Amino acid sequence: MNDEPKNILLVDDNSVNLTAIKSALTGLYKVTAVNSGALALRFLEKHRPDLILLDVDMPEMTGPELLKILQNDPGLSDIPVIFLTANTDEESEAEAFSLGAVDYIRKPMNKVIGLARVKTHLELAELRVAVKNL
Amino acid sequence: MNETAKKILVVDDNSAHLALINGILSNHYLVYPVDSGATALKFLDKHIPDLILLDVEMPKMSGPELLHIIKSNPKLSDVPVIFLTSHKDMETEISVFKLGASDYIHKPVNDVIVLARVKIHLELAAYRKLGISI
Repeated sequence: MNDEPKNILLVDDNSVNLTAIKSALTGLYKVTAVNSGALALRFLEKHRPDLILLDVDMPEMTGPELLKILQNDPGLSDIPVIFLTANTDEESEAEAFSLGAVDYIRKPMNKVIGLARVKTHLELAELRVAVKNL
Repeated sequence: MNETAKKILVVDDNSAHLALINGILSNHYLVYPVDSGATALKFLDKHIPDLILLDVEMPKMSGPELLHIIKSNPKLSDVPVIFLTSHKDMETEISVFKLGASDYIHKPVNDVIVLARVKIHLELAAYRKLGISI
């Protein structure tokens, strides 16, 4: 694993969640936190994060709406997106996968669970690229 | 199904759960359902599965006990283990990661979630096996 910290884009309209999740990841990753889909898209015009943590329920542009835009952009479609949601039912979790998210983390995010899933998908994405470049 | 179908060992003392999970996975993978830790160990003497789905609460040998044996065996320690649990509390979820499991799935299982989580960890394990340094 190279030493350069991975870049994570965190998108959540709730500032309390944004701060809590950012602090759980900081030190391990370089985190950019934004509070709307519009700001996320502006960031993505110039940057390519290694992973995106995306709140499902946001006003104006929802998580699924933003994910759809990302998936239609060839430059961004292979960035793993993990949904953040306050819903604890299995249907919401299953829906996250059906919509194209690579995983699902429940809010409030538990650090152990959140970090485990983030690590899994960062490693998986990096290995996919490495295999493609063999 | 082809010759390269991945092998999945499913360990659960509840025969209804075992049948349900077998039904979800058997179109995609070679599934070996067993109903106890002892039977699982007998299977693991001769076979190395690509992934193990392991019930947490089983009589005689619990899921965590079996996981400990698996992770202590160099031949098996790289095999991803996903716990199956009917507990929805965060403590149980956190504990499975600390024990060395790759993830957990809630019971009763949802087919989309089972297939998504199994796929994630099979792919990750396959890439790790290639020994590419990243």
